[in-house]
Amino acid sequence: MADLQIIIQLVLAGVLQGGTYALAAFGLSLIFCIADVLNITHGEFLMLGGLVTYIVYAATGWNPFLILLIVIPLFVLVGLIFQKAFIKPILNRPPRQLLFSSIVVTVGIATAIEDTTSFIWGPTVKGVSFSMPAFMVGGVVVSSLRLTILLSIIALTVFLHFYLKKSFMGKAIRAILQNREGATVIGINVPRVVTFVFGIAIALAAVAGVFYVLQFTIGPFIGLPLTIRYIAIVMLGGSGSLIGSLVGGLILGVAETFAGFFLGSHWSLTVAFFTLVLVLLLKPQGLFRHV
Amino acid sequence: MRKACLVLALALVLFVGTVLPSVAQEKKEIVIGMTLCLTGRFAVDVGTFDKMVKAWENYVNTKQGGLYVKSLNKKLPVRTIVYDDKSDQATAVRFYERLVTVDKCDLLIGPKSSPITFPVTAIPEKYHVPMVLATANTPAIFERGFKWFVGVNCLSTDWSDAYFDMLQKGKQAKTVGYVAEDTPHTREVYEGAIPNAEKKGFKTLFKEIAPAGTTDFTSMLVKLKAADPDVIYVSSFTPFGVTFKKQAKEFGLKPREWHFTHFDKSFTGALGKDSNYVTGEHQWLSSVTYGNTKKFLEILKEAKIDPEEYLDVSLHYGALEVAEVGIEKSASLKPDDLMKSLWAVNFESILGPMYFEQKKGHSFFKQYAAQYIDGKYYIVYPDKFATHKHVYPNPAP
Repeated sequence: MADLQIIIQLVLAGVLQGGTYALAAFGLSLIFCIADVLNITHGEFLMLGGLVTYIVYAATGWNPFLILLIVIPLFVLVGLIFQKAFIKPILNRPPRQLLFSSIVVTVGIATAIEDTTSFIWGPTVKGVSFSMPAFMVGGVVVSSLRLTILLSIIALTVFLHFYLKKSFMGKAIRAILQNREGATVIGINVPRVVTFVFGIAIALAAVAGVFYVLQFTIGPFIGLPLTIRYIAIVMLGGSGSLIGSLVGGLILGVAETFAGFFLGSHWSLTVAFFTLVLVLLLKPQGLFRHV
Repeated sequence: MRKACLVLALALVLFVGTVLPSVAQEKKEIVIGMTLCLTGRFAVDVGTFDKMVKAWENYVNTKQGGLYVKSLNKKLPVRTIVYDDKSDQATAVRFYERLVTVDKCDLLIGPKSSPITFPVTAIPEKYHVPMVLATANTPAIFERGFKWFVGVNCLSTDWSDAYFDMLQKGKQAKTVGYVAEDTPHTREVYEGAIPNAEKKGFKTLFKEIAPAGTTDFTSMLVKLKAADPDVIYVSSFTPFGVTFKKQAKEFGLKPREWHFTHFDKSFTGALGKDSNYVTGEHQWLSSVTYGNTKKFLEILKEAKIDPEEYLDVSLHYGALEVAEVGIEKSASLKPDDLMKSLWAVNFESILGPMYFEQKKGHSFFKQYAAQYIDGKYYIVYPDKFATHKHVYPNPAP
């Protein structure tokens, strides 16, 4: 019984961990598929989302889940401005050039964000001292905080799923994902949709940042390593796929937790990335296709 | 006539070749150079230490009138040169090479951290320029038989000596579970702590090393809960420690004592009331009355640095203190004399009695056992500087 409890405990921990991975990865995936832009700045927006949460929480003591109401609209706006100012000028380049240009531009912006943040708020790490009491179910300890975060992520994923299926903008995004030229022919304003996608994707990264700072600490230089992890999840799940990001994140989270327990914490990342390589060998396009 | 001209020319050449250089070489200042991790991964621990160095320079030059140089029988002003090594080994090595060959420093101060210091120590050895290491404490640095540096920090393997002395004296805790973040420093602290504690009679119930950047500790927490040690000892830097502590709380893990080897203000700030009664190590707190604390506090004030936020500031300052004493006691500013003087240093610094192991070059400085109680850090051991009694077991819910 004790063994089964441990297995359940590990699955639960992996799922809770994977949920946060998935949320940020989806925005990255969406931008890559819609605009052919590899947004290396993605992790920085996560960090900024966490930083805003830290600042507001320190100033007001509000429940961090309430702070989402500030973070979401704020970062939709930031995403729109980011796209207009830095991405739009390079969007008309040929695909390969666009990809390389986007990497160069976003790496530059990522560095600027890191240095500016470090200069203004200092290089020390910051965290939000918010906790919720854990509870037990059949001998398994469940973290209320991480469960609430996972439920919020599921709710957001369901909302996004229906938004992409039912709304005009969602249909336009899916149309571009399926056939960009076709979408243009039927009158979809592709540049406008691209700008909108940046708003959504950056806001998703910032929301992931809110959840991140509740569980871990943030510092000015956490962005780039996180972006690399999210790129791996996107590859695992299949780019442009909401479900793919979720499943990719969960696989990575569960693989890390199990490897940590049975082989030692040292093997967590190795096993997780070995799983990624294995999946890509079997399904080079990733587990799922577009939205 | 021609002969006379030749003799005159020869005399002129001799004059130019011997007298003028000695006039030109007459020292006008003492140049001290270093790099600091002002950006990059270690910037989090360094903050604005460059301002502290400049504040020290300013203090020495304006309030002390410079540093006394025996061979010149006068005081010379100090000029410090600080480069940002970006927390990168290769950049640090390049800058130290420059400090010696271009900036012609009389003395070097070590950079932040053992990983950056390790390759850098080859520079003083190569050019025979004296160096005082600041935070570096990995035994490997001191075991190479190098002769051109001394270091103010204790060895990483002795990091928690005072803490285990205190536990032994308290006779309450019996068992310990150890967790380490896999970085060279935190691993060495952990590897030193286990045998030291076992020698003092503490039983090890759990030990495991997790990679830096681990974000899920469930597997460790499950094992730790089953082992139920009195003390959970975590050798890690702040981000790892905060995440571990948060998840341990969510997991319902309640040992009689939490010990974190690095628990600065960002640690306690991120954990809030969950950091109450946590113990850890501190290098310096204002209750420590060794050396010239008044001068140190004045310099910190000018540099606007809080020693509870940037724990390493006392070590970097300690290196400057050693430089001061070494220079003033040296027969001259010649590298051989200066290095000889540094090896012979023996004075009371703000860190405590400062002298060096005569083969390896590390100091015998000991970290203080501290506890965070109701929003304040207190030294709880050694008793001489204790500002609060060690609270055990942890009464926090």
